[in-house]
Amino acid sequence: MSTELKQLKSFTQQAVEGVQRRGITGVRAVSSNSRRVSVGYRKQRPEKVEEASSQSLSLQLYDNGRYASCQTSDFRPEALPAFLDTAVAMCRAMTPDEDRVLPSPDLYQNRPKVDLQANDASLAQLAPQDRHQIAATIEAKARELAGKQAIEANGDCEDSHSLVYQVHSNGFEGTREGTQFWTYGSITLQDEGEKRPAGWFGSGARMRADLAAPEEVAAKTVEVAQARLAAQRISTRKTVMIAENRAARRLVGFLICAANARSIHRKESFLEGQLDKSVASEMVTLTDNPLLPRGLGSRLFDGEGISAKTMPVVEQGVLKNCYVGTYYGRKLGMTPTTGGTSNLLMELGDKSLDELMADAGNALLVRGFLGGNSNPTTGDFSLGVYGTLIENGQPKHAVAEMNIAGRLQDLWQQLVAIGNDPDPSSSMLIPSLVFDDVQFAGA
Amino acid sequence: MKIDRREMLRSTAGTLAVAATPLWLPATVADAADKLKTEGNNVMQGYFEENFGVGPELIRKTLSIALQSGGEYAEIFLQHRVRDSIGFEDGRVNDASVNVDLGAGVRVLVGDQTGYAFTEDLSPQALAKAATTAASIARKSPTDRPLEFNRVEIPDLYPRQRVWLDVPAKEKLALASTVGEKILAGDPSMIKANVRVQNEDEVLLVANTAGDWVEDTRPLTRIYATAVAEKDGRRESYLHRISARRGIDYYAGSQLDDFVKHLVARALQQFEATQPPAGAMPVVLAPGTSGILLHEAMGHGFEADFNRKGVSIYSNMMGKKIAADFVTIYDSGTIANERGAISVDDEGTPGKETVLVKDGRLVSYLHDRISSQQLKTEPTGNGRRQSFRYAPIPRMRVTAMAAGPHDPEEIIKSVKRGIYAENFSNGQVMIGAGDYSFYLRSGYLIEDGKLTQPIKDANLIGNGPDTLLDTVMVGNDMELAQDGGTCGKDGQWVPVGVGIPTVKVSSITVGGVNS
Repeated sequence: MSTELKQLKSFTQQAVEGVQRRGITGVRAVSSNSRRVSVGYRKQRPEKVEEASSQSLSLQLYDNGRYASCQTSDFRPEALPAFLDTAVAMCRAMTPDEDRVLPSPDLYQNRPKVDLQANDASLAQLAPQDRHQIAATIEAKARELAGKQAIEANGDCEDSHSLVYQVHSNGFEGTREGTQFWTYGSITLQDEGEKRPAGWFGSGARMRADLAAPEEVAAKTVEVAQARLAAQRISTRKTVMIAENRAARRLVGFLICAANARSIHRKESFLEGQLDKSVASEMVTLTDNPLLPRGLGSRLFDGEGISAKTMPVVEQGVLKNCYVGTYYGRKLGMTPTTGGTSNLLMELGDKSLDELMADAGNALLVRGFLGGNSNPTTGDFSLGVYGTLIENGQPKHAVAEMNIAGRLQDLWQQLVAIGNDPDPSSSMLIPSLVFDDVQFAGA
Repeated sequence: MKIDRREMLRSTAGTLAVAATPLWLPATVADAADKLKTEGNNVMQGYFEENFGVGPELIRKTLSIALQSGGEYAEIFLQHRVRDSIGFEDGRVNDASVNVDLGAGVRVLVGDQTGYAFTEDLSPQALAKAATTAASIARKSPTDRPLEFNRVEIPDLYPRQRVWLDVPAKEKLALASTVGEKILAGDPSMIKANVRVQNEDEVLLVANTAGDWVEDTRPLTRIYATAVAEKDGRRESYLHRISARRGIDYYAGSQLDDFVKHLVARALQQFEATQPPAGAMPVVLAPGTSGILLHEAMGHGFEADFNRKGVSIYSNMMGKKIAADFVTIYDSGTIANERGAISVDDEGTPGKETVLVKDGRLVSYLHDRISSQQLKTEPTGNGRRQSFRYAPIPRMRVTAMAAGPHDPEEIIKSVKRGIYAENFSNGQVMIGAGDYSFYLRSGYLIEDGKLTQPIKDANLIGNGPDTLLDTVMVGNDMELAQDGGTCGKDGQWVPVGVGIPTVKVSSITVGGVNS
């Protein structure tokens, strides 16, 4: 065990014992320390260099139905007693709710014994000049590719390491350690008139070796920005929508948010009562897989200590499981699964984005959203979009300042094709998606 | 309550966490809350020295280390913030949390280059380490020089009787249960009330190598609640918020009743409402919350970090006429008690009001220290940060449009077919392209100059400079929104406010549905 973990463990256990000495037996404690370094380049000079270590202790107290939580970044031993007094007093001030209990210890059993490959030990060898080199290369390459149109380019490089220790008074103990590496490019181009569309692209991974090359990040960044040049608003119409992989995540997000016991219990879910019913086209299969090696959302246990396992969420369009934590599970009489997503995988189709465009013929390719929202209770949504008009399977021109609207229940049944191209830099591995007959509002 | 500062500080040589205890504990330990009590002018001096041993000597030393590699400017930002959050669900107050944040951020500037580091440990060793890290942005010989601090005078914008730390738990719990119970009693169709009450006290200190030294304390309170109603097997919900930099006195009088009344009425109206038709049409913005338009369509584009780099659509428009004569837009940090008010910004510039568009002409951007030096102008007091973990950047405070010449009734009457946009939830903007959007929660169709069918859930999208030119009428009924928002930029979130009179924009694209 590392010294770092030993210290974290000893401090956390002191906190738990302190709460128990004050007469509250049910405690969940999570402590962490993390270190993050980031370097940003502009005009071939570092624009911003940031570096810091951070620590946190959070406690959740369960006292015969009374419940409170407390979080602090102050690890001085002399500050702990007063912090615990606060936590205990706060908990005792609450109205009892019999569903506020620690998770059942049964759920802690059978923790998978697999190596998630979440921690890249080579981070320690990463020298400051390596980060500078990556950020500088992204910026320089992006500027070079964009040529005279470039107004401003940036390259960024960021890495972090975190160590988490979690302990529950009813028999759970776990640690997790992980690294993340991110590189970003951004560029602003001079367009017609005063318009200056920008493009942004990021690559992220648990292992440094899995990061896209700086040159590739730069190329993608420029591609994204160039696809937005000379954008026009087109007329209001109903047409085929192709949501590009990165954009499609937001649409899946609405579905996942509604498939959560918390939303259902709070009557803020259009999926209430839809378990085992069709909520999407038969083509849709969504799986929560916490055990994906190197996955950005991978874990052996969740925040409640529930042992990780693969969970079908939607199978061939039918809602099979919801995200259910202990509290809202008890409220709804549902068996806890896990309170939140790990890695969300959509079953892939076999076509590339180009092939989806060719098949669609005439469509609007939505490359990103601008604002918008949905009403979680009714499923009504309205979202700003930008992208590209597709005619006869070919990109015609950029489109901006448009909206789409409808009901999420209907939209998901209108899905007609699924791509093979998920963006790996996310815990949501969602490919490009094609929907029929979507209402676009424009000029 | 007014107490003597010296005495107060002597009595409170406790620790950080003790400051949190009076939230929940009886008077025996409540004296620790005195640490955050103020002298009436809200500006407390010596807080970090008395409680954490960080005084002028240590700060001088830290800033000297920060300049050891040749930085041109260094600054330390100390912050102690205690936030509590209380939840009402299923007819009772059954969850609460407290979050204690304490730390220091050290920033070093070389031109427009920034070195930044923070620490949650305020020991001399930890501060020295943060300063050394931040210093590394520079690669020259030390620029250390003798440093005398001068106290910066700042206004008192948040007068209050009690700090939140001094409010007993039961009073805070009562806010949540009162709102929750009133919602449920508001109409027989109400089936759910989810309420959250959030309060915070913050103490901050900024000291820099220009010799500025400033300390401030800021309160903040917010209630947000969702009401869910069910009628004839149909279900509708509505979310509403109120917020201010106030103490608990904010909720005295009819405030909570008015809040619930508004929320319940809007939730019920949703049953009659439909999504509006899709397409471009005239939009009349109701006074108050619609000010989100200014925040998204103009405010972000006026932030000087974007303009000094030339990446905002407004980058070439300084001094130019961008709207009709009756359009004046300002951003103010000095409207007392507003959610976006700041007596001093997070890099030590006292709170100000900044006119951005005067009689239709763009006259100022929103500056922080870096941009004001680059563009050779005065800082406007817009350098803000989420916490000591972040370097400050230009951010809005309360962004508003001044009252204009038109009668609100006449504005509505002038529209043959369009929408009246009343309540909004969120928005977004693309700085360079200038496209913005904001999400309409409730409003009405306008047909032949009259408000008719209630509408809901539509995103409005447009282009900032186009919308300024399309602003054809401005009412004489300017109103500040009470449901202040939280603005995100570069991963940092800060509280802001907006205000606007009734305004007619001749064309905005409405994300509705056509049957």
